[in-house]
Amino acid sequence: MTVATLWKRFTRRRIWIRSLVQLFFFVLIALIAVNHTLAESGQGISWLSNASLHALCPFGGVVTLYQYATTGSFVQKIHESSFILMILGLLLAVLFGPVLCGWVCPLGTIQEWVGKVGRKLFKRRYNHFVPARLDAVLRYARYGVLAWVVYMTAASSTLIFAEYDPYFTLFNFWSSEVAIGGAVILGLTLLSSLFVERPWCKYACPYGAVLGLSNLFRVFRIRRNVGTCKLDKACDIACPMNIPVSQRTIVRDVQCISCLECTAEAHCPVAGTVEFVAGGKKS
Amino acid sequence: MIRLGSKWLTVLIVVILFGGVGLSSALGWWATENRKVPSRYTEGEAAGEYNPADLRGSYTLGEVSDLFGVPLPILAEAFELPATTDAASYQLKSLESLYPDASVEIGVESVRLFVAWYKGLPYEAQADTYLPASAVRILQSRPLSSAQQEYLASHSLGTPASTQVAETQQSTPLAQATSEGTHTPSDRTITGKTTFQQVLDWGVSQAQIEQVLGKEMPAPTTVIKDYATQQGQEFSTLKTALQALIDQVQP
Ligand code: SF4
Ligand code: SF4
Repeated sequence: MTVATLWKRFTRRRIWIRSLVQLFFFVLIALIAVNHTLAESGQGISWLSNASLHALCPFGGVVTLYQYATTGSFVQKIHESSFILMILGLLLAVLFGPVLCGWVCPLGTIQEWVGKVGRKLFKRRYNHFVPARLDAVLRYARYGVLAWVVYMTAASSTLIFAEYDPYFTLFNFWSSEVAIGGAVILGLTLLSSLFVERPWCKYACPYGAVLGLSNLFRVFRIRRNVGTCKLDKACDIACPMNIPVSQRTIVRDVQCISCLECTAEAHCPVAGTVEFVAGGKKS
Repeated sequence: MIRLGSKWLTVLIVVILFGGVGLSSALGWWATENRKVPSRYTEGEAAGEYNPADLRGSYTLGEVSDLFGVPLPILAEAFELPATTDAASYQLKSLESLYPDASVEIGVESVRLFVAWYKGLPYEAQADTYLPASAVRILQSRPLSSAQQEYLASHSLGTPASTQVAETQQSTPLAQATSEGTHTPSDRTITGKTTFQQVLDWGVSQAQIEQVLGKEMPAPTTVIKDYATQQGQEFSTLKTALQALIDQVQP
């Protein structure tokens, strides 16, 4: 197979550039995490940041909000950088929706990678195992997790969630900082990614819960043009978050991660039908 | 109406994230570590000065030197750092592992005491804080009260004579000195050699220990100090908490 045909295959009917962006951030964060460990023994790579993962987590900014508002200080292990990333993440979300989930978050990325195997195994049944009723209820669970994390952090002033955070575990499995809870949750997440696309994001991620709210008011939206839509449901099948795009005019579902897979640039077969747009007619 | 394709979205994501980080670091807002500024004395003669009591394990000797104006070579000499280590980036919490076999603990608390007395700042010495012999020697050349002199005389780790022996062993300068040191720890006192088993033997329950650790207790034969080093915790903090438990139970 030539490089050209490989490339064609890779770019066919999907937002290939998103895969590249995801890979880039995955590698970047992984390198920084390794560098953090190396730097502790004095052999880090100097041109690369060796910040701790906590410092690079935008969600850290969210959980520390309460303490910051009341005492003006940050929760242990959280620094200004988390705060700045949180603000940048919110800015991106207000503009484009949860692109941090769909394009940047390495935990989302690794779930997608495992999901590729699941899709090979189960073909069309993949991502359709959870009964719709149960699924609908479970999708509220991440708000429960969010409430719990924010409450516990405020009550204890420590970074409670690090003990359970699969993202932190993923990039620290070699260090002694990892807690059993996090390892179990990461394992479960990766295993269930074989059956469900992005299970952690759908049912548990507290940060996804926060970012998801931006879908209610974001500037650039996913819009379906009812006039030209063939109702073939290609978008519904493509959507990793199982959103029935073909029944929406504008996608306002809090679970959308702005992956653009439903748009005419990827799976929607009619040009100009599902689009990523700002402004224009409201309905 | 503005349409956005995946390529433009990519550009915007990258520009906003990296541009934002770049801008904030240009403005000096981007900090991935605690700004290390110790609290200051609030009363007394030294009011307004940095308080050594607030030094923590994450501070390096270089930072201590900058903040308190104690020359770096003095600090290195006082704590007998091996010549091969870079004193400026040496974290206080590493001191505990520099004196692994000492019967008493040399750690952050020792630095606090040393810095305070070196600078003539008020500082209440805790009865179980020891200093390396060379630190004591340096302090003795500073103006000290007689109470302080007395304290130093009885809280020196190893005598100056024995440190000469020790100097030949670079990495653990006081390994031998301790046996000749002026202090033998009494029973029921946690030292650098105490294991979890001993704490259990002294009547503290495993549940109590685990509450202090915040997680499961390792094998009882584990030396507490090793455990702390391995967990990246400060031994002195752990020690104080466990010692409090021991002191609660009567023998
Ligand atoms: S929902 Fe959470 S885990 Fe999923 S992509 Fe978003 S931030 Fe990452
Ligand atoms: S609605 Fe479209 S952009 Fe949103 S998650 Fe589904 S496929 Fe991605």
